[in-house]
Amino acid sequence: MELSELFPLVQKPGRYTGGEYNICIKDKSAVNLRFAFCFPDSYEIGMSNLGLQVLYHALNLAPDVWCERVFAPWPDMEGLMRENGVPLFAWESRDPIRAFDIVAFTLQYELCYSNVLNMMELAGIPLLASERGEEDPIILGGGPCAYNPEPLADFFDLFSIGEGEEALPELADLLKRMKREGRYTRAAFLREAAKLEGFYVPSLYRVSYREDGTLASFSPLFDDVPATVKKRVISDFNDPKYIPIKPFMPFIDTVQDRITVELSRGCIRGCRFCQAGHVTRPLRERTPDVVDAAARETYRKTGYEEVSLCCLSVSDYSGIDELTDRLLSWTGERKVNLSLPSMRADSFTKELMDRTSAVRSSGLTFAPEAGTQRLRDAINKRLTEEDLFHAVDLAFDYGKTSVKLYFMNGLPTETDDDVLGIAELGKKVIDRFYQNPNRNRKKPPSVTVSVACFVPKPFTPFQWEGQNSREELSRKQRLLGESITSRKIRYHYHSADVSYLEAVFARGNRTIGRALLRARQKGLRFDAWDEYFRFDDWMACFAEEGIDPDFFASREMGEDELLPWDFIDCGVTKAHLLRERRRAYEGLPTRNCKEGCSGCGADRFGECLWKKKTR
Amino acid sequence: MEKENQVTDYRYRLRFEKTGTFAYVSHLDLVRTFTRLFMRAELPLYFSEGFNPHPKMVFSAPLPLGTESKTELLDFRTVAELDPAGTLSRLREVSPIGLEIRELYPAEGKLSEIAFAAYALTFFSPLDEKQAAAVSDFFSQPSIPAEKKGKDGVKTVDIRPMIASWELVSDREIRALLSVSSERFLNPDLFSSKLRSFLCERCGAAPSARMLRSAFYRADGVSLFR
Repeated sequence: MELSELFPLVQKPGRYTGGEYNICIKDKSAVNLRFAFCFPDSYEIGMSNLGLQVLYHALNLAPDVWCERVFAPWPDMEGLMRENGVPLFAWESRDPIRAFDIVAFTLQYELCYSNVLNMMELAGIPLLASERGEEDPIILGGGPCAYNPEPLADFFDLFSIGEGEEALPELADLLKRMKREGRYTRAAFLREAAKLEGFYVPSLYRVSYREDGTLASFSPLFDDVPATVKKRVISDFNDPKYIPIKPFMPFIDTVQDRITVELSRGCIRGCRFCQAGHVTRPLRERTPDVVDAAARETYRKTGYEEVSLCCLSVSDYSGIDELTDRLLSWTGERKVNLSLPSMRADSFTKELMDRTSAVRSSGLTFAPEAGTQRLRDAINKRLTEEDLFHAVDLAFDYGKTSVKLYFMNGLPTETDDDVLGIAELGKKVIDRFYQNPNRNRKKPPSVTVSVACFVPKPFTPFQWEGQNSREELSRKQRLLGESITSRKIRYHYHSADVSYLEAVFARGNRTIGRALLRARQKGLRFDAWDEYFRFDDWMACFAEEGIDPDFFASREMGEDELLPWDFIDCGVTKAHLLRERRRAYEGLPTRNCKEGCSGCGADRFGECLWKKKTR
Repeated sequence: MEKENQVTDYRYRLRFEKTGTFAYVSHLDLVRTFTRLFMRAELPLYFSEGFNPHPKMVFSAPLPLGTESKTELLDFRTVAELDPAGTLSRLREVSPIGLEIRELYPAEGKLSEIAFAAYALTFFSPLDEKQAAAVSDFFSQPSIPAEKKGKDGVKTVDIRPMIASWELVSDREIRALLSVSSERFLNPDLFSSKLRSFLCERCGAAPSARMLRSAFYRADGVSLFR
């Protein structure tokens, strides 16, 4: 059966038809390398991912490389594909990806791992790297979760660690060269690839364990394979070559469907729970010139009605005034909105609000993360209550009536007082509304308190911490729920079960792979979607394999323990992370990079912006 | 040409085709697609006033998802006069595959004057004599009750009065003129599924088929609306 015959039978054919504006179509006969870039979640989520746009663009710069998109078929489509023997295909050519040279998966969050295996199975590619033959594609992983690739080590041939714009084309070049020279075999290619900076080939490392289950050793099998894998950082973040100015545009409604330009990589803040803020250092900024030119060019190629500026903390971007001036000089007359996500309450100003469509949206979102100053200091989220009040006052001045506040439960050192502080803070924000003489008098205020569960992540000062047990997290969630009495406060919290599984994968080692394989046999997938998440089945997978998931999620890891991800050099050193952990327990915040250098070590990967400025 | 909010307002009409996988672009998504396409082509669009300015566009009757069309009409407004030929070629340069803009001209009359649409129902395999006779019987019925899903649940409507004319042009193709006015809209999918299930009942089988919209007509059923 033809793929197109399935279109009328599925819920949303627009997910699978392809043909989106600005996609890259190449002449197969002129292409030497076929690259499938797989996003292991729904089309709507995948099409909203900037990383996919960036790497699709970077790979397709080479005329003889064709990078195509692949998404996880929604269960209705998956059922039809299995029933009719239609293998997983690439969205541009509709060719089965099994025949591609490289099949890459971007690993954005841990709960997509089951989708990765499901997609490999749908493609007809053997799941285990050790069972793949010469005719099978090379399976490559990358993205944030590749900072601890070990749970997926059995399934992947190699991982790209860090930024991919230069690394992936280099890998493609190596493969093309070896095929052209007739010296390509999987083994020979992987051995060569392991020597490229930023690539990790799990099969070239030997792992041994102690009796207690912790790692005893982790070492390369050969002398020419590096013991430490250094992450990649692109040579010039200001090089416009790598900015995807011709992004593909979905026809159907997706999560993000607008012009998005990255302002910076890295973060000066160093919140102690945040992995992105650590692994993306050193801090680099694009100049307002480069960003504005990219936004204009993208507008010409797309006609989008909104420009969004993206980075870990927009208001820390040093050229924000100049940039917004430039953007507003052409966006206004074209009815293009400017939006700034990820704004920090402590650098939220009237000027910024005036300039952006933050004004237009019905509400504003801030992330105090913790309910008390004590805990905010401990996690190095240095936002004060006054900062938050200042920000919400501004919002209420503008006639806003709804504010969203993000928090976390289960942070290291958290007590019940901290939990109750969340409710308290919510109440105070409501009070600020009624104290505001300029408030909107037509609508009552509404504060949404959204509480996630803390998940310890590799390469953060909290990487050693045990996660609160699910029972403890649920108790805290109940405690908080009971202490919120105002009907003007809406309370949401994340599932403790989901966060637990996330922690298992985040800090897991190679043994986790066996449970993942079981999960595939049990048909688990789309774990990030409530309607498909089956926690009891996951627990059964671990039990059947004799794996204790608590060992990875709830156990406090030893400071001198060899951690599964220790072989990666992400820039920030273990010594710095340890120092920061200590300071957390002393309740001491750490100055941000603008205020002074704390010696995180990431400047070994390029001079960070703030060092450059103070040189 | 008319004045509104002190802005000179020009009205133009596009005739476009919707074919291949582009037929799976829903009506709502089509609005977004055209807005962006117009901005890429740098058309001096007229924007609505107010909090959330948006270009004014009016489309001819929506198509069911997956149905192709050789004639779809779109009326839009600009604040400056356009050079139709130059604008047409600019629009064509920035159109997605499957969206073929064929004509651009000043709009005359309103799209609401459209009463009927012509469709071709093409069978993937030829009809035999018995099936061809059944087609005739289908249209000869004094009434054709069909279940229509609406906002207030399912209700039964008689679709026969909404079929203005029909013709079996070959053993593979039926052409029909169906009502598409806002008061009386016959969904072409409903029409073809009713016809096919009638054939199944009579002859035990009906070949698969696809619908293609080809033209719009005014209330007299004879004069073309363009």
